Amino acid sequence: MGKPKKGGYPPPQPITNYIEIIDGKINPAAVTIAWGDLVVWTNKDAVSYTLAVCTNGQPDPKKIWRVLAENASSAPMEFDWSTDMGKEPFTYEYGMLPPGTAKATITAQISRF
Amino acid sequence: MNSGSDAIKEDTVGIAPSRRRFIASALTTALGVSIADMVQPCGLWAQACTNKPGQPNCSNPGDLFVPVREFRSKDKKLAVDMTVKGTTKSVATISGQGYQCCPMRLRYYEAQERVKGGAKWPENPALPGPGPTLRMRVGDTVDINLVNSIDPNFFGKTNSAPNGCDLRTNQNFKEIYPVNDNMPSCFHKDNVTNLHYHGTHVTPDGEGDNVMVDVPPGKPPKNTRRTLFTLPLPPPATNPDTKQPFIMGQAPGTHWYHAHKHGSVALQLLNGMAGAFIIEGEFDDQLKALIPGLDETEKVLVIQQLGDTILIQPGTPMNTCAGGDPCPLVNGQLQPTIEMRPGEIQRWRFINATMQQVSYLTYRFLGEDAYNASKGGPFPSDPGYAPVIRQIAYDGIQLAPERYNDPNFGLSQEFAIAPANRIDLLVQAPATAGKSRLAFRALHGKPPAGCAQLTQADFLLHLNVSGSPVSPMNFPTAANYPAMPAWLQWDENAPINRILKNRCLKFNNTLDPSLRPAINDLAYDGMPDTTQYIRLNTAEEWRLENYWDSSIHPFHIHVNPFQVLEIFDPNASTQVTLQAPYNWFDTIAIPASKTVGEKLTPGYVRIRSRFVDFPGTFVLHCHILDHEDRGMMQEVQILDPTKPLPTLPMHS
Repeated sequence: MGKPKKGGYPPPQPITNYIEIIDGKINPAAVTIAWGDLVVWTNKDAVSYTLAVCTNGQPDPKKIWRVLAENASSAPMEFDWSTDMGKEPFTYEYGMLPPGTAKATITAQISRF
Repeated sequence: MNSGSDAIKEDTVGIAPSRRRFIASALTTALGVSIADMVQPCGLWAQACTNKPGQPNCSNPGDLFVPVREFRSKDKKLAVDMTVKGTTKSVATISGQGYQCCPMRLRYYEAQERVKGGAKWPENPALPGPGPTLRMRVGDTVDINLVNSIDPNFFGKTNSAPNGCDLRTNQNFKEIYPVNDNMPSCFHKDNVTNLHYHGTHVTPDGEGDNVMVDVPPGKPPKNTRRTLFTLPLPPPATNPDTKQPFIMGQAPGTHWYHAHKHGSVALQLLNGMAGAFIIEGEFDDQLKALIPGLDETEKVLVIQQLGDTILIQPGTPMNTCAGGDPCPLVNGQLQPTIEMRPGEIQRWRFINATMQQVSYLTYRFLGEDAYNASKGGPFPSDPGYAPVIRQIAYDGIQLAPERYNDPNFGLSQEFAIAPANRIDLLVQAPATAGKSRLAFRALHGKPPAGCAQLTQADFLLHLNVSGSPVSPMNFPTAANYPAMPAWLQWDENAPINRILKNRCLKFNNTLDPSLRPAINDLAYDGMPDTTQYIRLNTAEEWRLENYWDSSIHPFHIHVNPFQVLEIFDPNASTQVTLQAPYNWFDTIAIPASKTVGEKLTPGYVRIRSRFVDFPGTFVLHCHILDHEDRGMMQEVQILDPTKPLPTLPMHS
């Protein structure tokens, strides 16, 4: 596989991406980031949420990404690329465990542009 | 939450008319695809970065240089309110995949002069860069009110527990940080701050240059900290603290201020929390007499690398650096253009306000042709169309006439600036119009694993010389260059200069599993084992050794500058021999070590300093600030033997 070539590697300067949760919804619901970027979820609601990666299309209680306190931001989550990921974009489906219902995706890819 | 009511809400939103929804709906009908199909292949970028220069609030290569606003002391007092805030700024860089300008959430200084009709800074908070330039004169009083108005929820949550280290995991549930790092020497309290006045010779306690305090976000008075001190006049003026004459004065020169909360210094400087702190004095008066009009064209250049993420490279030892190693910016601008007239001499004050080793660079002006011919290689012997430079100060302390006239210092056409160093230059434009660039090359060798070289851009700024030539301007000569004041001379026979003690500080790694950056095997812990105790008004000679092959360690000590007597670089083919009068510094890059087989030869520096005028507690540390945050720091207690030991707070 090796390293991605020009236009891919070295990666762009990583940045922190902010995803908001308002009125029980994840906004934006589909985002694209670059490998190496970080994601922070900002909960604007007065209730707590648990975000988990989906298995078979449903948030999996065994794969919890973040527990968000009410009106609080999450710790940053880093999206790491490894050689077995390939060069194609990879999409993560995630969502809220009950009582939350929202689902969303994060697509990570090598090139920002 | 009621999912049924959510569904109704979704439907209600769904029928709300909007131009975007109308177009999407029409396309869906015409193409026979769903909105999800249209969105998913490209996705929505979480952050609207651009790789095309010319976007609003994004710095563009070649833009005209914009000076930072200056706040000047009035009636011998500088009164400023400095409020720390967070906002989204557009940061341009050349890194990795080329030019990019991205919105980033950064902490910054919003400043206001505390006088009637006082100026504000910044004019546009969306533009990144340093805080205001603060300018005063020796003998002036500095009265700065620091207010921490950061909204912690604007940034990511930084720790897993109160008073804990920052927490970071990846998408595969792997812990990236803190792993084996622990308090107080780990990344933590990203939103707590304070202020350090780097290069000042004032009390480190109370309302002085006190970095032992935490200023948390919140409400007054907890989120507020006042600094109030008077910059010493040259001796024999009286030290108001002790009623004794000062032994050292305040060196007039290019100094700077920056955040200094142990655990968050690297991130806050990566955010841009720094600014120029210019102190004028007799040296400036003498220069202006030699070169009339010098102050009208002076340039203050704050070099920064801006970002919102400390890159953490898992492993043993764990490496940390600025995310992506962004290109050095000047006052927040990417490769700006400075204009001069033919033959003109300007004073340029450089401040390296970056926080990591890849910004340890050597600089040289190259004409456009020479730049293009040498790209990526060593500096050419013939720089082509380029200005002539004369270095006049290091770290805000004037060079002695002998060093001004020294091919290794004042006369050299190359200059190196490690993180936290300052360099003052006189720059004379060629006699004819033309263009050149201030190019740089890495001095640091191979960076730590995971940290990139600054290879995507290798010059700091453009110089454009045009217009009519100025009336002839000349550099000072060795004969008329300002003499060193007596208090900056080191009289070997004076009792105050007798070396009372020798110390050796080894910049290495901890022996515990974290293998953190350390001094003498220990990460800073706020305890006596990481504290140097020194007797007030004595002189000492120190040997500073570097046991890292992968990095320099810029040694910095607060309050008292030092003279550098010897530098040994095991990776260099020849060593520079230093001689008296030695240059003064407050930060010196200790060269990296060299390992051949099993044998490690440390780089080292020998310094001497006088710990005078001010008892109290301050710190020494590596100015690669992720090293400092993770433990390469010690406390220094200057003890007055005539007084009881003070009880002092430690860093949390």
